[in-house]
Amino acid sequence: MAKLARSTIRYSKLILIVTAALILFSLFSVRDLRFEDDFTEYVPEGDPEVSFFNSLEDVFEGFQRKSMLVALEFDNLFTPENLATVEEMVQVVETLSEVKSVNALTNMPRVLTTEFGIEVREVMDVLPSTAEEALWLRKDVEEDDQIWGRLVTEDGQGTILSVAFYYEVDEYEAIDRVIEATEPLQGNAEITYFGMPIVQRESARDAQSTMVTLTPLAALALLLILYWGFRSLRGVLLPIFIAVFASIVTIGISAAIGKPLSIISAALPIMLLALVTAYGIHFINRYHEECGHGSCDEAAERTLRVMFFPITLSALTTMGGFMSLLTAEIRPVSDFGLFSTLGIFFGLVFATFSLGAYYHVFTPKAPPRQYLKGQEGKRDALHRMLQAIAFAVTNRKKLVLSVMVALLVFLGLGIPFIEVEMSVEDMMGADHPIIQLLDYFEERFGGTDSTYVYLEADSVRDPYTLREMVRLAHYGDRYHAFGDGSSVADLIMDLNEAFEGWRAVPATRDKVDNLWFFVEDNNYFQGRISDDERSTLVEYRAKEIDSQTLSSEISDFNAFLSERPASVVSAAVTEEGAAEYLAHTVVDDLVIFGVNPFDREAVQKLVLDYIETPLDEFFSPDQAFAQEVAHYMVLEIEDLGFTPEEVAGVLAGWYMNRDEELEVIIEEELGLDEMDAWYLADLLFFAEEQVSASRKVESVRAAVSEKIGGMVFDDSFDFVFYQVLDEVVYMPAQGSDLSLAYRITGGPVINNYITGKLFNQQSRSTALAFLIVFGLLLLQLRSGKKAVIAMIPIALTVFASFGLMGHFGVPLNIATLMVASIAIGAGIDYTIHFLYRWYNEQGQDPAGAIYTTITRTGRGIFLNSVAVAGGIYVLATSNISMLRIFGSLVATVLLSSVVFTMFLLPLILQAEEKVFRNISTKGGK
Amino acid sequence: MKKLVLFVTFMFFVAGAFTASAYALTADDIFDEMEERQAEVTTSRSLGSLLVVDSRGREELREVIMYSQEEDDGTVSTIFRFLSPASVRNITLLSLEDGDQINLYMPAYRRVRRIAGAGRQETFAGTNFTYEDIGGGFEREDYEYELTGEDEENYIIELFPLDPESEYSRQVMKVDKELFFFSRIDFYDLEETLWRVLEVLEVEELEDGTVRFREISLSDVKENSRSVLKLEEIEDDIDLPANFFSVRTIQRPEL
Repeated sequence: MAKLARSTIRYSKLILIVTAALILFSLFSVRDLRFEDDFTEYVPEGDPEVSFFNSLEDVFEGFQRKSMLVALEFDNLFTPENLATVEEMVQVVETLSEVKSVNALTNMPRVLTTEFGIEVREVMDVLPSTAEEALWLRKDVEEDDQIWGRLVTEDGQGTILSVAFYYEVDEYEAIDRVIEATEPLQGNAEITYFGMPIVQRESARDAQSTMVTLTPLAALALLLILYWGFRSLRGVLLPIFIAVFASIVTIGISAAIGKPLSIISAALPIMLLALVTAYGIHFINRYHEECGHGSCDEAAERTLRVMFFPITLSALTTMGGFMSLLTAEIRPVSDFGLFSTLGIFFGLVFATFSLGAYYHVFTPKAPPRQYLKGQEGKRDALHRMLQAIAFAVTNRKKLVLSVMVALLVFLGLGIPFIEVEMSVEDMMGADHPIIQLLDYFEERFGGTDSTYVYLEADSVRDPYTLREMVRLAHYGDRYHAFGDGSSVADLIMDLNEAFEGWRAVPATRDKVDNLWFFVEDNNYFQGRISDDERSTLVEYRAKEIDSQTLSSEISDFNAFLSERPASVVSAAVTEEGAAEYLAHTVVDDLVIFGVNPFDREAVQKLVLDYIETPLDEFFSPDQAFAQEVAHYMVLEIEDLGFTPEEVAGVLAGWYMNRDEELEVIIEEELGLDEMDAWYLADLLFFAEEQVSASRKVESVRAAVSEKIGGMVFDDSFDFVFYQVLDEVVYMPAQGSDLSLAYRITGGPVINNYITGKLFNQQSRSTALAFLIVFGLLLLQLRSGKKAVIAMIPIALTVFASFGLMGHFGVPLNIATLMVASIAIGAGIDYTIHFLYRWYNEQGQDPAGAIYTTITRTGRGIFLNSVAVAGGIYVLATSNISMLRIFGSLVATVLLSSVVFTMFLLPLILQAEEKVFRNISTKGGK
Repeated sequence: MKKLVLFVTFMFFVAGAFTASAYALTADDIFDEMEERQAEVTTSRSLGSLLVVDSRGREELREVIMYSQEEDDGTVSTIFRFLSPASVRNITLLSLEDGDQINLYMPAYRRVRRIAGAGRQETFAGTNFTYEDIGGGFEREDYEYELTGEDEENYIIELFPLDPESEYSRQVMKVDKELFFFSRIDFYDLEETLWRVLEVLEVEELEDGTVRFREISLSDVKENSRSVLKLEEIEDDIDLPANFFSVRTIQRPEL
């Protein structure tokens, strides 16, 4: 130490120059500092859950992570003027080269079933020019679930443009382009933008603002506290400068290596300011003591000799606490660990070498008054308080112990109430602009976030796979995180309705193939199916919910998925057990579609009866039936030059008298040639089957409705009931025709995954912090006993931190999980300084040693802890809830560490001394 | 599906419209010559193949058979049926009145449905191609145009759509100097970014001096997708029964 101190003094000017250069370089680099907070990047890219989510962008072209929403609010959207505004905005945005597609009310494609076939058109083919036309449009879209409540708000005032960008564009720039293009067009509308870059930009702005505005505030708090303690300008400013320099260098390094900071890192300069100031305080405190007891000329070297060891040990243990965070798999935590470790290191260097060099170069004439010999008697209020503590821990041991035990019991009672919470609302705070933005989109348009079920099958085209997609979409409706499910199967059902008459997934592959051909060029369709057609997605709208609910919903949904058949075999409905299984499937689907509770057994029996009833039973040879049959083939009939009514008349007549074949009657009554008559008759027989099938389904629909209390089954139940027509049944079987696998993913799912890791992360980092700090203490104190004693207050501090979290409802999140490690690393400083002084003072009687330790070193500890807490408490004024809570908790926990050090450690040390003395006495005898 | 339909329609509508002789010095002269020398084919039957390459590079080759007829009112009716692969076999499309009415036969459903609602500038069922790209989209009255240059093999004509609703800012057409067919058209979006490219890859010069396209490619540069239609067997002026271009025809197993 002496050599190091001498070298420092010898090269003091060089040290000051190097220090200044480092700070200037860092200041220059800080200009490039960036904040980024993308939770999908919280865990390493190689993490299976995150890499799977990220890989979807490569598998599915339509999986757009780069997108934004533009919300428009009018007094009334449905006026010609306001609709024109929307239309103009859509057209302008569509022309931007960054934009891949815009989905909006004005260009929403609709597949409509018409009498003749399919009409594919945009919702607003022609812009309404009158109030009546606008009102008509409103009535039209009010009935469309895909539009009302999603693209248009329930009150008809707001609408949304969903903008997808090309993969290779810079999302931030693309969003700016959209904003620039749309703002001038807003007319009567209030316009609101949403996109991950907008959220990230807002978060970054807040984090930056927290850093820029609160760091000086923390410095001011420290300044006031230190001035109160030291009554010296240098005593006030120098420790703060040391800490500020350490922060600048740390942040500068982060910027220089291009590593962006996360939101939680905004607390870094304040944390460093508070923690590193302590080193300066200890150094200056001792320096003034040395000055007061002799000449200031050599005080710097003497101080270095004495203080280098404890300050280094203190810094090393604090670094140990932070280093334990480096093992965290959650990137913001490990980054925080890395940069805080670096910051402490630079704090150590500046507080020893640089400060020693400074005091050597700029030696004061005299120390502050209270450090001068003969001034000790005139102690201040702080001294009197420390005297009282010394008195209590030496003369009122039982009382102090009782209070400590009571406090620990109280804190312990809170521990079971700790909850994990990683929702955005919890992290940012309910009143934060980002949360208000999220709330707005959730309230008006059902949310901004998406969840997905990824399906892998032998073929997505298989009817069973498509049906499973429909089931999964409906099953999600019971959850907040899996609402409004949709998939390519919806489009298949729309088209099936146009071709077959009902909105269901056809049971046979050839029908699916036909429909597939029709839609395969569709961007939406193509973008959601993998190249090999073996995987696809069911997409959901996720509402913002708390982590507990989210975890529970994901767990429930996973349980449901695990119960779905992993592989199925197709069997003819006539095969043994197939009809029964089909009935079972129909009943299961009713439950999946949200019909519950009902007498499953009775309904299953009823459905089975219908399945086994042949179509003939639903054939009705009358005029109405004939009309229905003719209308089913309207396009073909008109192509022959007739009306459906004409053909229906012939058909109804034939029903009454079937003496002749139908084609003969058609030839006679409609005057068609033989070939065309045969053609028409064939069409009509086919249509009869279709109409009978439709009647069978309507019959079972009505019967089930009656059975379960009159529930109305609208068209959305076509999927369920039209299965009674299936001639093919998909039954579970191992290693069979078709296998299926499912996986839930999406932003909220990853968030939940990260949340699930928090407890483990915390346990691991806390244990590691204990281990590192204990190892360092063992090395430095060279005594297992001393090291164990030193760990006791800190163990209780960690215990207290958990208790405080439980009692005050502070959840475990990426910020608060670091508190225990910080408490260990930073809180141990107080113990080290205390122990160091105690063992130095052991020459005198225990009470005297305690008195000296508490009143002399205790002063530094107290000032240190108040300064640290005061600085960190400033975070409680941050805009970001997570930082507010983090700051308050760290500060409170560090203060509790002082309480344990000042009150409990003396009791332990006196007890140890007593035991030691007894052993020595007995040994002496 | 629609890509194929539009492609085939394009062959019948556009190929003739821009077939012309080689004496023009102005854009109008070029177009005049092209119109004068249009092939006059009333009925036609073609066998061909269509290669579809999507944005991910996936390729699918389909065999198609096509029939066309110029009606008395000057409009064209077409039928095209897919012969392979098995998943699309016999799916048949009937286009009447220059594509104003399209009927689709799905064999698995045994039913014909009319496809309606697509406007000239709208993509159909999400395809990259619009009706404006094909049917009648190159009527010179719809554009301002000028001959902007020439290279060794082509005249270069720029066309500026008069329709304010057009998705294109301009089209750059290269017209072959020797045979007077357009060899390439570049379509630019409203931001002047190249969007689509139409290229004639193979032509056949008929005895009467007219030119028929044998292979044509449509690319979407933004989407990175491409379709190539190749006609292999072409029979002109064939006898077709009355009402051939009807719903009942396309429901037959064999045309």
